[in-house]
Amino acid sequence: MFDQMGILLAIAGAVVAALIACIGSAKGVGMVSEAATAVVIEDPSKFAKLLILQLLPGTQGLYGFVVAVMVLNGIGVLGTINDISTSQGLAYFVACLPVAIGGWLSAIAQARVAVTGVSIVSKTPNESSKAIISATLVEFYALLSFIISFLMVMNINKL
Amino acid sequence: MAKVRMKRIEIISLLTDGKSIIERLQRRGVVDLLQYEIPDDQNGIEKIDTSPSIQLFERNSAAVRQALAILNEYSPEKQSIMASFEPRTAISTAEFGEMAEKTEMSIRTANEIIKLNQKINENKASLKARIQYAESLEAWSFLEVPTGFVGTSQTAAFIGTLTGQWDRERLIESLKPDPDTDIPAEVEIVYSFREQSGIFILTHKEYQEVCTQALRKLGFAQPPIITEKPPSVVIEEYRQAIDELEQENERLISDIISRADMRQQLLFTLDYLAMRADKYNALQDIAITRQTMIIEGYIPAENADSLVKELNEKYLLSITVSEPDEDENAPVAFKNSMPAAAIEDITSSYSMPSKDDVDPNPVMAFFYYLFFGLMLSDAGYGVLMALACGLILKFKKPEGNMKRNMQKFMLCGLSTVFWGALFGSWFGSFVLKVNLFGQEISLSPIWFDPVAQPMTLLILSFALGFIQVVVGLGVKFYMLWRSGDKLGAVFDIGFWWVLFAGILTVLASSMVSIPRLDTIGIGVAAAGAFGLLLTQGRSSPSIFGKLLGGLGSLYGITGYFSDILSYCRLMALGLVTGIIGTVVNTIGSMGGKGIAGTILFIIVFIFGHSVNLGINVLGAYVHCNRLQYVEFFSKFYEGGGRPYSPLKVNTKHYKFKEETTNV
Repeated sequence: MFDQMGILLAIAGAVVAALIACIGSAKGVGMVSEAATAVVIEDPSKFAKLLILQLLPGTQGLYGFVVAVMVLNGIGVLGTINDISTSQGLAYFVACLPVAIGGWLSAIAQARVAVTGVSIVSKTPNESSKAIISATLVEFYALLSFIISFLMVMNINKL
Repeated sequence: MAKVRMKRIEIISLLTDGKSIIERLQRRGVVDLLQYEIPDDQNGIEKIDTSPSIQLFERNSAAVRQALAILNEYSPEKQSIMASFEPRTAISTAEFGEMAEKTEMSIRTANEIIKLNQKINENKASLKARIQYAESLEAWSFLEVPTGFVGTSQTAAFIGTLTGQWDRERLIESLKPDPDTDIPAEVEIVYSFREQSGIFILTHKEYQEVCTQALRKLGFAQPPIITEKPPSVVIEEYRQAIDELEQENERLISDIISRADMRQQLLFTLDYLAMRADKYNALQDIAITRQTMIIEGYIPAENADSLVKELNEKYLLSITVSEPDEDENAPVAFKNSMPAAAIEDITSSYSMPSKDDVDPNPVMAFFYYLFFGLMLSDAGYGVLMALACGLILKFKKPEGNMKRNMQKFMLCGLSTVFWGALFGSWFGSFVLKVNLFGQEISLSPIWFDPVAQPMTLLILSFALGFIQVVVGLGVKFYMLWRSGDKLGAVFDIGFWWVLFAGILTVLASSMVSIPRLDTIGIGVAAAGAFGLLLTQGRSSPSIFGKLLGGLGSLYGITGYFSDILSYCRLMALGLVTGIIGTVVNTIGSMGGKGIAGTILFIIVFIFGHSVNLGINVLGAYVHCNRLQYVEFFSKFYEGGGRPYSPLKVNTKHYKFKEETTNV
């Protein structure tokens, strides 16, 4: 079991990246969708505009997923399993943390902005692009977390 | 490239021609009317209050809209998904006149439809009440007397409910005041459920008191509904009433459906009322005297001559076209050719340019398409987007905003093909080998594979970002220079460029080995920084303030740094598209090579790539906009201009054919 420690840690990292980021996105999309549904009841024609806001906090889950896939790819779970040392495994695990936690928290922060954006769309539909841009300001930090996790995961096999 | 040159136009005409002129202006759609301000010392000039008429139009169009919604509910119109791309129906002026005459009739029809619908809703409400009533009486249907029956001159009847389940023997036992006394009575259990039972007891008058007491102990209660006829009769009557109501509703609905052929006329009426409301709104802007009418507004310079000529031919009037004053808040419109024209609405949804701003669209267009493609970065998706938009443009001929959007996304798609081909991403890593003219063409990356070399992509993103920031500063430089502030241009922009050039040189020195390149770079950067330090506080009155201002502005370097870092989203979004696409293909190919495997692959391929395309188009779109708004516009763009909104035929369903006859 202990000679497999590296693989175990790496997989734990992939789990954390996908799971926590996806939880954040699920919560975020859920929050915005709840608010948006209330508006759609009144005026179904606003659905398309609201859909963009609803989807915005969904990207964090995607970033977590991509990092998880890259980890699995790196350790060869998807093909032949590579030899992963314990320290490499630990490195994979740690490298997954930015996208997991950054994605999780930024999805929720972004959802809050998007929820207020929903009221912009319901009152002044022509200004919806401003609501969308405000929400993407938060997204940047999820992107930074993703990039740093990605770069680390891609280079760990050089350790 | 430019903003449209606006001229001020003033028309003074006879009051009798007023409506006709306004209608003509609306048809031409070029004049942005200005609210006429009546000078304080002017007597005899008045405004027209048309708000009662406008309110009437609004009431009527609300009715028509409601009627259309009702029509759609009972007789839905078959509409393809593509309908939203289609242009408005074109009608000739003669047809327009014909349909306009039917306005009153169609408003009448609309009100009829609304009334029919009201009747249907009333019927539905009473149907519901009746059905509930009949249902709650259902349990009593075996009772052969009315539930309100209390007995005859000689008998007493008890009809009501007891809690819990009861049978006849137990009830007879319970009625006995003591175990040995029989009460002569006719006892029936009408119904018996777990929670409640309905009972019927008929007894002689002399036992009424005994029974009442016994029943009281048992918790006897009045039946929930007191009827004057036996319940089964009442239920039957209600059933008939329900049937009648249902039949009536069917009749009413078919009555509504029979009016479905008025749908087009109703849509037209909606347009017509909107046009008239616009016209009456315009009338509020103009001023009148006893005999004349004064219209003021703005007109694009290029349209002025033809309009003046046309009006002069038709009417007796005086028109003055002049340059607007410097401090006037003239409306702004863009006039660009493709491809910049297609992204005008991206700029206008941020803000229209102020009168000092230049039109940012042409410069932005280049970066916009470039960045969009880099973020979506899958040639397969690009081909799909460009094809779909191109086909819609060709066959559906959309107009206005829809047309612009299709053009924009077609160009974005082409740029995506460009980047996708460079990165070798065709529906993820789905590497196709195409046999063309006997030569095998493999779709491997033309430039590099971003997943294998993410750092190269990251540096490329920063480099493109740096270029856009420098270009943004260049626009600012141009604006300052043009306005005559040449020193300001050099101080505020030029020194930054020097500083950037120095930093770039230092960075380059680590890659190429030219002796002393880094020292030169440091020197250049220091010169730029020194220039900023000396000049940026120049508006401050004191020496100390000047230096402090200079120092503060140097701190602005962190702003540029974070602006350029922000372009790393180009890399991140580009990577995500390709990797998810590859994952989709991997999952799809898990089924192996058999028939089932192929079917699985096709399903996963279509579904997975559709979702990936959707999410990433959305991501590329919003992040592309953000880069323009936050990183690019902040360098030079002020905004705050008033958009040009001429009085025009603002319809949703119909439009005028290009006029051939002279009316």
